[in-house]
Amino acid sequence: MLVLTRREGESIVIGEGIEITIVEIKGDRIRLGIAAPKDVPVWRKEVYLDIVASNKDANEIDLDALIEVQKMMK
Amino acid sequence: MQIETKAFGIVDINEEDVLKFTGPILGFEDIHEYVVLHDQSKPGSFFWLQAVGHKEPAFVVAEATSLVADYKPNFSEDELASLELENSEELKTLLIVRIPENVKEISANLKAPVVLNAKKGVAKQIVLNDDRFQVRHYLIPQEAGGEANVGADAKRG
Repeated sequence: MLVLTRREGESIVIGEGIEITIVEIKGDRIRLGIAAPKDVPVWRKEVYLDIVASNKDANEIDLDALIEVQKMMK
Repeated sequence: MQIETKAFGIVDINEEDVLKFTGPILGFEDIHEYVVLHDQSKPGSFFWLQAVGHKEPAFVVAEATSLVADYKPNFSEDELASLELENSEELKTLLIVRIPENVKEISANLKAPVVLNAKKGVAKQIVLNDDRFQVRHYLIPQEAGGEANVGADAKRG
């Protein structure tokens, strides 16, 4: 992994059209500004991982459970 | 065209019904095509979002408002750009439903809905930057003190 040191207000540029700016450093929290093209989604990693886990769980569906739910929620 | 499905075996679908995903279902980044399948024998809120060309993934989904009447997320223009919507009525919002072994813990993912434009045949999963919406929104009220209330969505002070 490339590790760079930056100060408040400084940025890094990744490829074409992605720029990450250190907006504010306050204690143990850092606010980042992210500029990216429309087709490049940006996610907080823990949210991303939670959604991946939820999608994988949803795919592991038991067909009998679905039948049970359809009866229950009629 | 014929496809293999998780719920119905081999099924004949129309090529024009195939949805091209401009943003993947997260965790299944290699799959770009899905089709919506209804079980004609069991009309109801739930139907399937089935991968095309692969038996899996296949998700049970529902129209958002049929599950959560007041579900009105704000999508940004950028998020919807790839759907090429001509008007807002073309936008359809589906929720992926999770049915665990204990079916009473059935939940829907309000945080990451699937949006689609059937006319153009395009869709994507959007992750909402809005803490009101939970990844696991229980569709049946959970009993107090039950494990279900201490889930991943519990906030820490």
